[in-house]
Amino acid sequence: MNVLDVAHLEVTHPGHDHDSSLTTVRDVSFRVAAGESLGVVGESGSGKSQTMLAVLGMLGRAGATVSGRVTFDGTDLTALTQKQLRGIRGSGIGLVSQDALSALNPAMSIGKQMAEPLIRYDGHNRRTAADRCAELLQLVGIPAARERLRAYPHQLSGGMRQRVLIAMAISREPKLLIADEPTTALDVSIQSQVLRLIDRLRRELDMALVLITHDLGVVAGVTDRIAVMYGGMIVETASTAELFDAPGHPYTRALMQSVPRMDRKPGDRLPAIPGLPPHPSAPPPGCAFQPRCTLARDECGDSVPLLAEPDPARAGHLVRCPVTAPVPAEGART
Amino acid sequence: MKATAAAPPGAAGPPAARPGPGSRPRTRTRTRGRLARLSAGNATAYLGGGIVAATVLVALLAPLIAPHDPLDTDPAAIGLGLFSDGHLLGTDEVGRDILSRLMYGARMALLVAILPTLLALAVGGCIGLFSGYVGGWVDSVLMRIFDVMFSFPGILLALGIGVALGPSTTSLIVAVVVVTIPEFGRIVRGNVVSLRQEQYVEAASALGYGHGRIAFRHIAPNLLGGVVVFATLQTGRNVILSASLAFLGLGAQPPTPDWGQMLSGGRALLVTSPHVATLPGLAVVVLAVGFNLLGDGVRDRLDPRSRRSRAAKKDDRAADGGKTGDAAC
Amino acid sequence: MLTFILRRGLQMIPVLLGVTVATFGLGQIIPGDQATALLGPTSSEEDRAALRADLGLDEPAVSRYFTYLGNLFSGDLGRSLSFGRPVSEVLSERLLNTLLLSGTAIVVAAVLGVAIGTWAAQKPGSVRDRGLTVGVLFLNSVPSFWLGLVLIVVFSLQLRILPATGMTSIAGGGALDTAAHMVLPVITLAAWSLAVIARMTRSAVLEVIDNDYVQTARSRGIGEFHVVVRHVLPNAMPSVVTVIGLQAGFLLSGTVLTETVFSWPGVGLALQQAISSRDIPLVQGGILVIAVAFVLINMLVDVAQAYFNPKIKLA
Repeated sequence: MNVLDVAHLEVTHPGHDHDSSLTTVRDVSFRVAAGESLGVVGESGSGKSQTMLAVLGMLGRAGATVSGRVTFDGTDLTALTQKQLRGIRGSGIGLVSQDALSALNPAMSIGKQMAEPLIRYDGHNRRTAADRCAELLQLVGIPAARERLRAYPHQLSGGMRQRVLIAMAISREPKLLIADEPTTALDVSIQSQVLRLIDRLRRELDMALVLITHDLGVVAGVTDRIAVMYGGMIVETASTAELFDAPGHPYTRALMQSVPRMDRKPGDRLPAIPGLPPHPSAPPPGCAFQPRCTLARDECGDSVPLLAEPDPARAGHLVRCPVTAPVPAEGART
Repeated sequence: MKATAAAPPGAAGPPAARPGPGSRPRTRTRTRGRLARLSAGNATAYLGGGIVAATVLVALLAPLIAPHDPLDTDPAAIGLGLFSDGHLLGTDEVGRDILSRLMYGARMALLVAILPTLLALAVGGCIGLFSGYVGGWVDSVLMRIFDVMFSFPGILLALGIGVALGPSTTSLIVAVVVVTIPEFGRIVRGNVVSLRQEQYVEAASALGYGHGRIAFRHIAPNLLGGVVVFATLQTGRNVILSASLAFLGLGAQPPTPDWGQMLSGGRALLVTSPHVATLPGLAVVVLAVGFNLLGDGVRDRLDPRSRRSRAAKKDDRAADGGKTGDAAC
Repeated sequence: MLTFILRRGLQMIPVLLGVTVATFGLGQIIPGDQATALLGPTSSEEDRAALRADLGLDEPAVSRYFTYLGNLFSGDLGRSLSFGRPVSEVLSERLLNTLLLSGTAIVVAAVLGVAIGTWAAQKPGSVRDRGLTVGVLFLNSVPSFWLGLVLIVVFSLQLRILPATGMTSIAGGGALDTAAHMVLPVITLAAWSLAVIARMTRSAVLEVIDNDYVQTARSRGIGEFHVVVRHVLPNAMPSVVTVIGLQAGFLLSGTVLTETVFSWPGVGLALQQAISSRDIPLVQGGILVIAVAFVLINMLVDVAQAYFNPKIKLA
């Protein structure tokens, strides 16, 4: 049973002039099963955060048009009104955003922020909400939880703030947790603690998880499956083990090369991908990665390659590259 | 001590100068956008400039185009209505032609709006330039004095000065100048302080140029844009401030035609001929709108930032924030 | 928080001293012989000499300033020439009327200004947003005394639905009667500030509304209205509160014009009467009272700022 089923999602922002509209998400499809965890990996600007905001129906204010289908728990979210969507946000899908300092209201105490939707929508009163919030803070590993409720965001450390944000996201027991770069703003030593916490909570609370990151190393130990995004599209998706074992897309391979590893010699330079990711207002013709790709051929610029299953033996491993993964005759397209 | 959280780090980094295939079309749209904004700024500037120019023209040509002598009273024709015979806009409480008085009154209105701006700009600008350039304790003392002057609501201080000096056009101008000096001083000083950090100013002082030369040849010209905008908007405020003081009896004395004082005098006929009091006020509004539009328009032209920022932000958001460090680089 | 208030209170002292220097100075810049200016050219030489001795005009300015300051501390603001009574008496019986008028006006301007500014900021670039920009420009080009006159012409003389002048009807009347007399002056007084506050609120809300914590609140299913009231406005408040405070001060001084137009028996009307009779002591006193109120309001604003900022509140 899929908790989340996204099909052919497309996000377009109107430009400030007639001809400068930006398509930031292009034909994105993926599924997340109940209790499953999916990592979405890509550089900034690859459209991963936009995809998740579109899932939550939160791009309307920016004036973006969203097409495609988003099914959550059997309901088509794209058919809902903003009011109905509000009932899903928080209680059905929880969101942990990346920078906990700016994601917490600086003018409100932690306890008040946490309790707000509990009191407003879940029938709690001040006392029971405070109890629940303290319980949640304990759950995410914050000591002296009761006293912390009165603290303001600027009085907490970065790791602590991220934990608070996680506690807020799970406070209404969502079926799906979306974590958008939850460790980017943190020290390396705290990053792994927070990742382990998210992983533990997912198992204990039986949630599905979408973990968005630019760092393949982050998802390696945490997620069941990985989707790699580039230029607003999914370029490869596979189970985590499979992807690390046999990365199909040249971009995925390049990403792997750039992950720091223990087996490199000191003094070795970390290989970087030359060039910059495309800007959504001017995508390159054909394959989005083609201008930076070492394997690019002439036909790569002709048309956008299909997401195909190159090896029938490795079911579910889809790659969008005609060079490393030529389309089989059947054309297995999601 | 602002509680507003700063923008997320990196949000200010627009993906502007991107080499590669992205750059060509983006440059085009940017340019076109700027052109569109320029013309929007131009429209406001032209409208405001037109109003101001028309007022100046009327003031200059008043003796030629005014249908009557503005001081000629006619006891037989008191408070005539609009479109009366021989008096297009009627007559006032002592039977003077309102249209003619409005035309001559434009001279006074422009005088007491523009002259104080120029004088306050000269004095306040020099103080600000000196204070910002010298810095240190001189700067602190001068700014504390400005603080005290700011703690007076402008119209009150002007009123006090006007009363003490005795009601006349001169004392009104002095009053308006005194209360607006700190405004110009602050603006100029702020700009000077930031300009002092600029490389070409440091280079000039490294070359051993004298202070006077650096202050007036290298810093002052760069203050021009911001000061012109501020001065234009301040002139709009002066139109209203001067009219207010004249209304209270502190400006030009009767029978000199002056809009504020005409309005005050016309109150006697408010019940029977409301246009006697309201028309001069309308003239004040139009002139003030003119200067404000002109100032806004010029600002939009000189400082495209005020219009650009939101569009640019949207761009950045759409491009997935630019919040995270680039992954594989 | 207490230390903050204390420190801020101490900072007021030099400003207040500066204010007294300025009001004292007003008496000094009168051209020519002060006694002649005060008593008129037809006064006798004995009267002038008596006044000079009375005011201590023969002493040096510095010592006169300290006498002036000492008098202020004992509540002596001098004697009004036109009223023939102590300035403090004339002003104190009118201060309440002025505070009633300007207090109501600032509340109206703040509430409506914040509401309109927030409303316009919801859809930047929309019709309502452009309407706000045009409205602000227009309102800020309208002299209050003219707006007051137009309101009188329309609502009192043409439509005859609201009283034009005074604070109560001749026949007398209760609170409702006073309220009816307040409507037009309050609109006149509030219009300018309302425009300024609305513009400031609009830009402050736009600064805040796309912040991450606003997104967070939305992502948790909180309704847009509560998002704005609980998460956007409190963080937009610091700059808005500053402007409201400044406007409160300007409103207070704007009463000179509004009270004149509507014959509202307050400090402003007394000041206007003092102008026409060149009643310098009353002018000095009126300015001093309003300027001190202005300084106090600014201090309250800073305290309010601190209240909205937990980093200062908890310090």
